[in-house]
Amino acid sequence: MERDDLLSVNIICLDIEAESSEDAIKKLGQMLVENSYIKPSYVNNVILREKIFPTGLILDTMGIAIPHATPSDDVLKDGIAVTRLKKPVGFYCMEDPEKKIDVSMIFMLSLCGNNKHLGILKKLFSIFRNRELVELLQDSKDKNDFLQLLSKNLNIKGEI
Amino acid sequence: MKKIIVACGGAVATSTVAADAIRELCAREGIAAEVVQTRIIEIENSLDGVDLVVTTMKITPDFDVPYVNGMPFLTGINKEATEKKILSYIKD
Repeated sequence: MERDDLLSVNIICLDIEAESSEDAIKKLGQMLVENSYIKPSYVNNVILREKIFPTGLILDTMGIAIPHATPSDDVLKDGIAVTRLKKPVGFYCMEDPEKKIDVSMIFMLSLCGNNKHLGILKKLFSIFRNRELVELLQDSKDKNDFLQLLSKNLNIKGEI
Repeated sequence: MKKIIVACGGAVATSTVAADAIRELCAREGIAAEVVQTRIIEIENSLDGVDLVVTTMKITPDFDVPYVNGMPFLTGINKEATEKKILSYIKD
């Protein structure tokens, strides 16, 4: 995997509109397909998995979601597609699948192997637990700022 | 030696985050503990000798072993209270 590809301005889109969680996942999926991270079938797998194991998370200041599917051969390279929404959409909660929450930032994961999955998830969660950082992401003015903030903090070693 | 099961709904992803945090907690507190990851549907068959069950998804426990919701290890919200609760079950 090329480290540089994990995050890229090509798979970040800020302040877009989405009608629903499914619509948002499709938009993120489209970016990943266009940039050769995944095959289109992966998007459907993510939508299906979201119905069984939803990925909405309530943080201190906002709701986020990390939609993903079980890694298989429809993932071509590792990437995290990100969107910040103009208006939140409803995602069901990971903790309580019957509870719907408002989500304003979505991180869609396209990761080839399970082990890698875990390392990246751990780092992502360390970002989510950092209230200040989440606010900075929410306030960052453009894709480049957003990308820099994210990549700087995903690369911290030893952080859990 | 205490035995703790950490389970999540999907695969092993979120439980890994919680399990790591619990291992650290035990190390910090000098508690010898074995932390085992599993899926929620497999909890029932893994309860032998278990002192505590932690999950990253809300469940209604139908077992006699103490149970703690481990979501705070993922989101950071109520983490300290959760740590205290866990310690109250595994500290002698």
